[in-house]
Amino acid sequence: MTDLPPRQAHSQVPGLRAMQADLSRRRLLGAGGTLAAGIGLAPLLAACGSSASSGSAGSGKPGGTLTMGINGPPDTLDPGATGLALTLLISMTMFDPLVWWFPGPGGTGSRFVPGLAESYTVSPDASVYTFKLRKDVTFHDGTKFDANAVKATYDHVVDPATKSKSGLGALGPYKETKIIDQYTCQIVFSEPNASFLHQQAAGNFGIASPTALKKYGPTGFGNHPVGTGPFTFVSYQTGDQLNLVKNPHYKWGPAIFGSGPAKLDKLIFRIVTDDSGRYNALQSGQLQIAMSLPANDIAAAEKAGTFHELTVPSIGTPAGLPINVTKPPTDDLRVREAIMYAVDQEKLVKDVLFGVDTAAHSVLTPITPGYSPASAKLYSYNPAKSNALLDQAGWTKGSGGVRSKNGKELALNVILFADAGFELPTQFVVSELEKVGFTAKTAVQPFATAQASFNSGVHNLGAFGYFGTDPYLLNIWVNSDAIKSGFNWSHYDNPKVDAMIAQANKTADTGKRNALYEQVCVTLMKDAIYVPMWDVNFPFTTAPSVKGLHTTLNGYITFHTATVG
Amino acid sequence: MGFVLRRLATAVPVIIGITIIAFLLIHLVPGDPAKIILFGTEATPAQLENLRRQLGLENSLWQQYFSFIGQLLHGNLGTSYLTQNSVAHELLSRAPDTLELTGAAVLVAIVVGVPLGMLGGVFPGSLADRAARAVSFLGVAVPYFFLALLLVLLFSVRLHLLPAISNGSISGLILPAVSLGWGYAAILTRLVRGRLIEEYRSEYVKSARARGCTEWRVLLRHALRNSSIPAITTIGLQFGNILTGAAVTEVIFGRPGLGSFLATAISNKNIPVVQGAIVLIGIGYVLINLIIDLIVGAVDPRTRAAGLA
Repeated sequence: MTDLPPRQAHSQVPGLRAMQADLSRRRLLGAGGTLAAGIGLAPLLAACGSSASSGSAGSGKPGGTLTMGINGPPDTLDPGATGLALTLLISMTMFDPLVWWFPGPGGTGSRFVPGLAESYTVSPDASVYTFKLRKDVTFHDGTKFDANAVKATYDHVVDPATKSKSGLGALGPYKETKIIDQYTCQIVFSEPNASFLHQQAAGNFGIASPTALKKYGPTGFGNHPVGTGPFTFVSYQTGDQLNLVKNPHYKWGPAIFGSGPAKLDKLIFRIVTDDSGRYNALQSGQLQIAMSLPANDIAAAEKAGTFHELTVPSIGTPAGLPINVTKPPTDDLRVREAIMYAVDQEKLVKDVLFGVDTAAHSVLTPITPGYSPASAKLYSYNPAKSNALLDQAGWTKGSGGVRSKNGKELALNVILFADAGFELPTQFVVSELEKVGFTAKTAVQPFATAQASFNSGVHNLGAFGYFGTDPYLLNIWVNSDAIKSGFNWSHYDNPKVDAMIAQANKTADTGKRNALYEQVCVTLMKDAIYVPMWDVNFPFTTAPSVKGLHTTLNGYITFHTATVG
Repeated sequence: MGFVLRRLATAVPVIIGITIIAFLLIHLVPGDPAKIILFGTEATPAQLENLRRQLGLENSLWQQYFSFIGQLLHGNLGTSYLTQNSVAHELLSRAPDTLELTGAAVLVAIVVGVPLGMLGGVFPGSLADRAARAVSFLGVAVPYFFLALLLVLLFSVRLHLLPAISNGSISGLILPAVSLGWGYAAILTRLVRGRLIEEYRSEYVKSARARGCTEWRVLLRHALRNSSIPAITTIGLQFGNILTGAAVTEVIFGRPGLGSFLATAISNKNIPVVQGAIVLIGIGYVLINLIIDLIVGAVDPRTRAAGLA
């Protein structure tokens, strides 16, 4: 029982899925464990496929109780302090952001939808954001919502006493919140920060009651969350379950959901860390939704035909293998290109990942702003081309099928970190590489050890993945200043790319920004610094009675219009 | 009284040993504990520095240990890295759930195991004995976590009779208690059966029968009483295993007890919680064995004189 099944493990690891950890544990922002928001993955996003903003179409009778099984305990219920995506999934039912960010009509693209702010403007250099606030909003504790509450919330996130784990980083170069009048405020940054609109909708910045913040203090608030959302906190039995009831006064919800109060009377988040425990409880009727079931259970549930699957695609960088561009033989572009052509991601996803995840072909997932479709078309599976490139680079095939040059074998040093679900997919990649004449040695190390190996550059292929709502996340893993101590495990040093990313984050105009990021994606893929493997999908398995779930663009589901009748 | 004091005195070094092991944990994890704890949180260097100071990492190992013990004596087990809440409070709020489960499992073990063992011991070779041996054989052979999954599959998923995950009621306690207690019931069955058969051959049973005691009196007053001592000792010795089993059982049934808390804390590298749980569970184990010793002493005066149990 101590071995975590791969899917759950993903969620907890800091790396990749790690980045998305299960909504909870060290799964980074992950949902299951501790994942921290930045790195951990969490429950990702939105509805996939056909329905844009509604995961499960239609709607049923109002009333009733919905119990959802989650895979670990939240670290806190304060979205500003949490390091877990799991907490954000929960806190989004109790808090509203200034502006929501949802999938666009028909499920493609995205759109901003007014939340607690009626409208906003952004200064041309993206350093000052001015919000006009709604005047009819009340917190669960009766406090009136106004500019004071916005200031209290943002100041709370940067307060060192809050010990914010993911919100602080997501906020970037925050300077202050200026109260212009009771219902107008400005959020001011010390330098341009074009990623802010995405970040503020990602969950960390749900507006908190200033009365409650004062009453319970910067850490006490995490046990007594008070927001303006469609559900009100009732109680949390530590490690067991979290009870919420509908907020009957709610009328400021996203217009696309009808703005009014939630349809459910009660919403319960039940902690069931064991993966099969969640599936069993779903089958016995104790749960109506189970998050992050292991891929084999999802496959079984689909076969049984009894349950529905709501798959939320991830936003950020897919799970993949950074290629070290400084260590031979991968310092040669032709060798790196040969690696890219040798990997069949579609087969990988189908054979190794039970088809639950999606094949990845670029440095960002398709729903991430700045994603470049052109970059994803650069390499299609083509072993013949791999062979040709390696021939051209002077690596000749020997008797055992292994290539060599000047007496040296074409050997790759592969280093992975443990518990993130990389082992099997990487084995698949290595077997593909062996077919074209590589030989490889794979080591699996604890995360801290692997991180040190990656920074020192002893690897040819490493492991990575990152969950983030804004393409500025590329900065953390391709910027040349992140080689020795950060996440630039490709050891990629390109001043032009550094400058393009910096320029993009100074550009308030969305179209121009995305164009810059797309150019970055194409450059990175042309330089072949990363083998994308799979876009992590977050699975929510639901009973047929559950209807009206919606998904957000940053990995969560919303319960505004959910029903169980 | 002297016996009780002697037993208490031997518990002290054991508890000190437990605290040393729990304390050393944080230093056994490779790397800078502060960095490991904050990994993935986009921590600033100032946050790292703060945490190092908070953990007292710049002091010598001895200083750190004595301050750890000092805190412990005040009932302070530190602050959970994950929730920023008091570890002692979190552990104590979960302890009742684990006590409930282990208590229920021990009850299942006694209520099922002892009568089955008596049946076999009194009528060795009978059909009932063979049935009881088959049941106990399965109990010893099938791991509790596998049994738990089978029971859930049958009673929750198929028949919808009992909850698959605990729901705070007695019905939610049945499956976990049975799956955890069954293996110990099996051990007790075999033990009681074997001892009874032996006791029935002894002189004092013959003399009791010769005195005209009823068979019930021979069984309950004489043979069973003497057979119970190894049974009680075994329950005490097995208690550590029951606690370990409770951890896994809690995870399977989604119970918010110490075990599932510890499992989550380990995967989160939440060291203060792991340390606190080790100390609490370790002391609990020592106390249970102390109590068992005292019970055995009460049942069998011979052990008091010998100072062993």
